[in-house]
Amino acid sequence: MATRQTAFLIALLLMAGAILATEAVADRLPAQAEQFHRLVGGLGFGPALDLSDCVFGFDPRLDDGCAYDRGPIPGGACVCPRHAGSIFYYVKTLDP
Amino acid sequence: MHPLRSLVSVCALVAVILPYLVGMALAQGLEAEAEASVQFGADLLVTGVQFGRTVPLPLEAIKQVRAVDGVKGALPRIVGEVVLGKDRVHAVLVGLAVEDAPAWSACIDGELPKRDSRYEIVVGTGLARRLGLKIGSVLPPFYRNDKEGERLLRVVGVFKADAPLWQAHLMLTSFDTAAIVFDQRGAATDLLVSCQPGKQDEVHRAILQRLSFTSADGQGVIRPKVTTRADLLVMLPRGVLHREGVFNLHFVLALVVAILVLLVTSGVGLTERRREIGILKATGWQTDEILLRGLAESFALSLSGACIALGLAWLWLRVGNGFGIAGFFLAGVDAVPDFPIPFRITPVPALLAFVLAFVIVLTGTLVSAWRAAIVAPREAIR
Repeated sequence: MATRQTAFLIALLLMAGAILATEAVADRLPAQAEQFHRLVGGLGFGPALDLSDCVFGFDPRLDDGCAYDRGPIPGGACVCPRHAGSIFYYVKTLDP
Repeated sequence: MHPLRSLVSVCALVAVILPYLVGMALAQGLEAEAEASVQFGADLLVTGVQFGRTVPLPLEAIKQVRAVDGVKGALPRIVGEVVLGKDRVHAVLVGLAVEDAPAWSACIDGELPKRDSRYEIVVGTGLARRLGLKIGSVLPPFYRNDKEGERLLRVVGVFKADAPLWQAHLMLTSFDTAAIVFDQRGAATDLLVSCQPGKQDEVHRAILQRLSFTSADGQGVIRPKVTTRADLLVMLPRGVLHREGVFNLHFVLALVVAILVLLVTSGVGLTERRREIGILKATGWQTDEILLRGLAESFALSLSGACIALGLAWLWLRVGNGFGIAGFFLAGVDAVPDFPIPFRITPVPALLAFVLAFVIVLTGTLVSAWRAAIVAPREAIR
C-alpha cells in the first residue's frame, strides 16, 4: 500500500516536471506576433479585446488610465471588468 | 493515510489551486504578448493632450514631427470603437496607410486594403465568426457620415487565428476609410514615430519641449504626449508579488475551501485518528514522531494536490484552450475562444501553489495530531 502511494506520488512529480520542462522550452508567442504588430504599429497590451468600458485595458498607449480604478482602497483596482479580475494589472503611464 | 480524508483534502486543494494556476498562466502569457506588442511596435507613440485628457492630433502635426531631428518617419493612425450588427458587437477599427506594409501581411488570409480603394477591410477571427464574415463578404453601413454618406464595406482579408489575441475584434482598413467611418477628416488618434537608432530619447524630449498643435477650431492648443517603449515596459507587472489582485479575487474561494479542508482534516475522522495515534503511542511512538508523521502526510497530500492541479491547468489551457475560463480573465472572449489563448506555465506559481496547499493542510493536520498525541494512550484507544 505504501509502495503504491509512493509510486503514485513519484508519477505525479514526474508529470509535473515534464509539464514545466515542456512549457519552459516551448515558444509561446504566436507565430504571427511580429507580423501583426509591425503591420498595425503595435496595438494591444492588456486583457481587453475591444475599447468598450476601458480603453486603457485594451492598450494604455491610447488612454491615460482606467476610469474605473478606485485607487488604493481594498479591491479598488479590481472594479474595472476589463482587467482580468485584476490579475493582469498595470499602473498608469508616468506623467511627462 | 485515511483514504476518504486524503481524497477530500486533495480535491479541496485542487479546487483552490487550479483557478490560481490558470489565472497566473494567463497573466504570464498575456505579459509575453504585451512585451511583443511593445517590441515590434513603433519607437514612439505621439498622442494629443487637452485639458489633461487624451485627444486626437491634427494632421498638421505629422509635418512638425517629421521635421524633428532624428525622426525617420511619422505615420498617422486612427483607432476607434465601432458597434456592429443587431447583436451590437464591439469592434476596434484601425485605419492607417497599409499600402507600405505588404511585407507584414503574412498574418492575414486574403489581402490588405489596396492603396487607392476605399471601403475595404480586414477583420479579426472573432468578428468573422460572430458576424458570419469571410473574404468577399460585405458589411452593411454601421456608421453615420452626413457629408459623404454611408457605404458598404467589403472584407478583403481575415487575420489568421495564430496572430496575437487583439486581432480577434479588430477591423483594419485604410486611413481614409477610417476617417470617413468616424467622420473625422483632418485628425488622427496617434502618430507612429520611427527614429534613427539611438535617437529615441532625443526625439522624445524634442517633441515634448518644442512642439504644440492647434485644435480644429483654431482656438485651443493641443500638447503632445509621447509614450516610449521604456514607459510601457515599466508598466508591465513584474513578479508574482505585484499580482495582489489574484488574492483579492481568490481569497474568498480559498478561505471557503480551506475551512472545509480544515474541518475534514481536524474534525471529521477525529475519533479514528485519535485511536490510531493512541495505538502508535502505546507501541512506543513519541509525540514528536507522531507530529513528524503528520508533517510527512501533509507534505504528500499537498504535493499531490499541487501536481494534480498543475496537470489539470495545463490540460485546460493547452488542450481545452481555456474553455469556459478564458472569458473570465480576457474581456470579450466567448466560452470557446476564437484564437489560441496565450499562457505560460512557470515554476514559481506552481511552487507558491504548493506552499499555500502545504500551509493549509499542515495547519489542520498538526492541530488534530497534537490534540490526540497529548492524550494518554489508554484514553485515546477507548
